[in-house]
Amino acid sequence: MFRLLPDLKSKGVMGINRRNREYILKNNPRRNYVLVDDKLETKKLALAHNIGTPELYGEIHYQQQIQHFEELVKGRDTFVIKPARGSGGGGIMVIREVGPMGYVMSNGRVLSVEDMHFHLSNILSGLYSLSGLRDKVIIEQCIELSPIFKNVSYKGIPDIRLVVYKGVPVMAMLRLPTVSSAGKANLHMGGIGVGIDMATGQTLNKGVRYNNFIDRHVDTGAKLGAIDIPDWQQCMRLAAKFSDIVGMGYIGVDLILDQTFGAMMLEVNARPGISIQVANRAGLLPRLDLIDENKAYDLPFEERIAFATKHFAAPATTQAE
Amino acid sequence: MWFKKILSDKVFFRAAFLVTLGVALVAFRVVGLGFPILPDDKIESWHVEIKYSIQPGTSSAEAPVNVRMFLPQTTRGYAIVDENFITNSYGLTTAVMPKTQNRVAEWTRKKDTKARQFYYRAILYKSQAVTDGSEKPVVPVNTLQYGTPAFNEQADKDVVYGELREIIEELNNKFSAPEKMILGLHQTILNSQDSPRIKLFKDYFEPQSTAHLMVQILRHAGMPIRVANGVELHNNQHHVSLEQRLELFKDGSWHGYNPKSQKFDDNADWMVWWVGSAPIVQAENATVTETNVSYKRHVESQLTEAIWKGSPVKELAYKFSVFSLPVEVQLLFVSLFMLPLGALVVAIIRQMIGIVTFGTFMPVLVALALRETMLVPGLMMFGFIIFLGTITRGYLSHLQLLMVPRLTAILVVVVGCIYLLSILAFMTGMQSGLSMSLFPIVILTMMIERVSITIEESGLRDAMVASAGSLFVAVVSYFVMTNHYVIYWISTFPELLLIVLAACLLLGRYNGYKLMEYYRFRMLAAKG
Repeated sequence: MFRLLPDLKSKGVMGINRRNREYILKNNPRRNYVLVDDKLETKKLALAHNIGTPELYGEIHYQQQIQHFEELVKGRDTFVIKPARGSGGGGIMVIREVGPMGYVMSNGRVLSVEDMHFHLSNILSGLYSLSGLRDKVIIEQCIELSPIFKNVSYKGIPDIRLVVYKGVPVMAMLRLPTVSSAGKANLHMGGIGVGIDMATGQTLNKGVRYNNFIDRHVDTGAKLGAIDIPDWQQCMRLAAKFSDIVGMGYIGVDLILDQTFGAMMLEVNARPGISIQVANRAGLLPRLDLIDENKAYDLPFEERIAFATKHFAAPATTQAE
Repeated sequence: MWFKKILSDKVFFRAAFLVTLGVALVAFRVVGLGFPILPDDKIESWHVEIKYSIQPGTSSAEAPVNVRMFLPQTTRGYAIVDENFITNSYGLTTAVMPKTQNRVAEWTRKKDTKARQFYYRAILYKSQAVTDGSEKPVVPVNTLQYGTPAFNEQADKDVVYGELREIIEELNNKFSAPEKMILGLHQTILNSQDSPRIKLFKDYFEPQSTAHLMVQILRHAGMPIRVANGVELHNNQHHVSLEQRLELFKDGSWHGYNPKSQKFDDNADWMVWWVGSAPIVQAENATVTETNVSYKRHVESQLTEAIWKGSPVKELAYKFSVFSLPVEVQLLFVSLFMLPLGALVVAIIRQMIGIVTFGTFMPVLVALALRETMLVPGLMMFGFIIFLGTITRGYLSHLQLLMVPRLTAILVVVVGCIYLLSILAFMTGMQSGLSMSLFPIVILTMMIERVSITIEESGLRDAMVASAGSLFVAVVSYFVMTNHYVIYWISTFPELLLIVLAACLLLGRYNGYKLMEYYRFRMLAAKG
């Protein structure tokens, strides 16, 4: 048959409209959004259920509290500032060192105390929040990146995005910051996405950046494929467990790997992007349908992880050698 | 199969119900009430206004003030469909004079000392020859007729009548047809303006116009003629001076002679207001200080006619149309009805094509603003202001201002830009820059803020893409919202909004791919 447009349907590619209509609207109850949209709430929920997350150093709710920022970070050399309701990594600031000139950011820029206060004030007034509403500032532990990522990260922290459907991990990718993404791991800002084989926790043979497939990291030149994510089963457990706790059926869980503490949950997205399909060169729909057909969501916790391991292995053509 | 899925969909049925209801209501208006489907078939209507002022005589403050004014009448060419009077606490009566068929309005008040303004407006529409068949020649009986002994006797002793006899004899010898005679007399008058004979006639008859003079002379020849006062309606005009024409009764109706063109032309634009030589406004115990006649053309659709002709049974249906509202409110509703359509365009483009825009409805608001500024100047102005505003915003972010004061600062810059542009536009003779209303300013401010934040967060490229997307969507909805047919349909058949609603329901259920996703995921597509 003559086709005017590429055949995405038979590959099970999920479009935004389908994601919104069939998965987000049906599985994510509105009242639970606050638990994931506000990262402070997410963090507190995770802490209450013993889910690993970077340590909370402090929080700022009102403009007046900015004066006491120095006390909150007293004795801390490294920490991360972020807006509780930020989106797309906006407003996140990683401080590597507190020097006499001020705060040294991960990219080497030095912020004066005044600059820092302005940034905090901007966050509070909602500059980075989803709807421009008043926001809160989170000050948290800056993780020590697992050495496994040393070669593929450049001035930023790679994270792992796991899509979880009704408590079953579905698809995952490793997101790597680049110079042009300004240290953020966001794909549409120039970060690199590398699919992860759900069965083995190993990255696929190619990464994707701006819709182009690449073999090597654009900045470091290191190979993107065949990176074994340490403790992969634990990563999946973490994501699945949080999905159970938060009561949302279709979420993206962002994890980071700390040198000492292992997998930690960074944040949760109630509207996970669909670019993960490009990174994995596979559509989401066949996997989601498989979960529904087998009622995998009714399985006990450990069996759900096993289900994902068994059924969502990467196609052989995309696996790293 | 896909159609089975559709048939089992509740929303589909709801949408189908809405569409059916909408189509049925439109059909009722078209078939039952005669609303035209297409906005052509224009007919002309005219708003004729007369405003006059009076000053009651101060000495006779106790005497009743009485003002009489001739009213336009339904004659050949024009039909009166609506009239308004402002009576100004005077009693008002209207009447048709039995002899001349003139319509007269009479304002009266027992006593009055104040200067007053009166106002009359008529809506006339051009129609095919409207004659009521009651037209009769009116010849004053007290005129001495040429050829009668009384006339000859008078002519022998009175120099005026002697000259009258001579000129009528000359005309009778030269011409046989009355039209020719009228033309001949007109020629004579024109060629010998300063001759003693014409001067004599002018002194004796004190005519208001050449036509009046001709009527005075030719009446003595027993010709069925009269003076008609009226206006030729073309274009829009203020401070119109009423013209006088001569009319000849022939073959059962009156035919106008236009002294300007020196022709008998039953000009379709000519509207007879009243006949006779009396002035349009006459006052007793008061002085008419000012009279002002103006008229304005309206091109209205057949729709207006359909409403005018509406029978009482149908009246309720008309009450539920926009046209029962005052004109300004009608215009407001036309804009309001456009809004959902523009929003539908945005929804289609966002859901089915996937163009990135700033905000959801910002493009619709921009399109609404473009309706006022016109497309190209509006876009240029928007581009310029957003460019300047973004630069200013970049500078302001170095000053580390809080958000709300910063937004206000941008607002100041935007207003300043519009002020400058308006002055520039005025100096270069372009007027369109001045038609900027209040609300695009806020839209521009918000857009500048969004552009700046996008530049900071996602880079210049993303900001350019979203700006271009927003403007593109705005232009598309502008074209939809300014489309002649779309405006006509939505304002005439507001029930079409039900179909828009149905489209929204269906669009809300659309879970297929966006056009842009075919590009985004092209590497994942199945081969072959």
